Amino acid sequence: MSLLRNLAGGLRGLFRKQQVEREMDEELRGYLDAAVNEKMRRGLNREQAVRAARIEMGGAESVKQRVRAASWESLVETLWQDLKFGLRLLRFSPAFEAAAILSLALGIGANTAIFQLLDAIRLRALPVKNAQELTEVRIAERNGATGAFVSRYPNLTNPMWSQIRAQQQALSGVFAWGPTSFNISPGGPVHPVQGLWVSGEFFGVLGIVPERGRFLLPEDDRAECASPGVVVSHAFWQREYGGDEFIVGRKITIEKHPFEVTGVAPASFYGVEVGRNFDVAVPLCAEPTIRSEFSVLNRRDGWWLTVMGRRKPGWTMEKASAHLRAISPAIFEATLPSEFDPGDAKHFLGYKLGAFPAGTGISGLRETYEDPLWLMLGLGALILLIASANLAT
Amino acid sequence: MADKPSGLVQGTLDMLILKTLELEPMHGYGIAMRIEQISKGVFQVNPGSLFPAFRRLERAGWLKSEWRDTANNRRAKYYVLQALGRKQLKGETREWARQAAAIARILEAES
Repeated sequence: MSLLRNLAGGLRGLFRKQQVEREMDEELRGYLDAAVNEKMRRGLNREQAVRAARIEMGGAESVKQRVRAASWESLVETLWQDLKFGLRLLRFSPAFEAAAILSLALGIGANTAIFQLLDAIRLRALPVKNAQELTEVRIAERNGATGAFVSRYPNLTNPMWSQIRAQQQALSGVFAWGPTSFNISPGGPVHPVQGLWVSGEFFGVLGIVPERGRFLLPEDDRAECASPGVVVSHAFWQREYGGDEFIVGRKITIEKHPFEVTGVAPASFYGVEVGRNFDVAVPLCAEPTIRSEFSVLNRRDGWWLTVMGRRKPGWTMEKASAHLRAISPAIFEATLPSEFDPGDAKHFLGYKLGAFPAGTGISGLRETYEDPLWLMLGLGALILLIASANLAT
Repeated sequence: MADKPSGLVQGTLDMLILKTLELEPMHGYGIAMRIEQISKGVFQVNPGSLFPAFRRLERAGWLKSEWRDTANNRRAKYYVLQALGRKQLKGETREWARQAAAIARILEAES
């Protein structure tokens, strides 16, 4: 209410300046007249009275200035005057003007560019609903592991994944995935695409709705793997098949094996790895078919999976971590590779699982570039500051 | 004049203006005179602080101003105390009395 009145009064002062000024003049004149009359009544002659009153008042202009300063709109006015003055000055020195605009533009541009990079790899959440619930399950402070590492994120083995899925209670749904590269050419030159190994729960837990067909389900990811299907990304569908209406049911050759397309992911979903968009997703159970003698699916020392899930309501990250720690001994006991020597085995059995926030996805770029990017953003801001200070002086 | 005119304690001018207007609407010079007379010349308010105070109080919604004819047929801006201002005056008076009493107690204890 009071704020509104203040605003209204201020706007009146800004837009009906002439009238407000006139009223102020009249009021001050009236004050002066009254003072003169009063002094004449006390016995001064007119000239003396006017002089005395003027001295008392101390200059009408300065009084007006102080009245104006009592209200916020004077700030706006001063700013506007400064701006006009600045622009007038600039017109006389075009070289300085160009340098000023250029350095500011460069400074702002650099900051924006760096921030966009940071936003993309660090700040933006995955394009799934309630991304803040997403939690990664991995070994806290692994400090080295023995075995075969066949992925960009070799966090866990498939036997571990089975154990975690069976035993954990902190997450309402869990899934495993691993990035890979597939050759989809039926013959001739190699045609590599970005692939994902996904457990049957992957799309369901992420809560994505297919654009076409259906996604892979837990039934598609059984040990026998009778009819492995493949889910393709929107971009892949557009790029390789020109948005073919009848994509669902078509066969794609992946590493010389035919896979039937079951569905298409929506355009907004690029995967869970920031900075790398997936093209095709196949169930974990198809791994032995595709990798044949290099398969790590059933190897206890084959590291290739990342496990993620949604925290149950009421489970904090700390509580989930504590729970995962508690079930760790049993899990690692059950998945210990038999061929390990005692030293490796002791290290292996000492692993502890933990819960880590995954709402912004997984990113190798992030680990490599996050700190340098923050540093660069800081430097960019500093440079902009220096440029501004330089121009201001 | 009993004493040399002294400066107003910071923040009390607003209270004095509100108090002066409690009786009836007045114009700027009238308010200045009334404060000077009632304080027996201890407080002399100069226009340089009086008019900014009017603007401030008006913006706060404690006063309203309107042009009226004066006794000698001139136009002058009269300030009228508003309900909000009355409330403010009450609060400030109470606070002032509390502080003045406290200061008095402290001064007595010191001597």
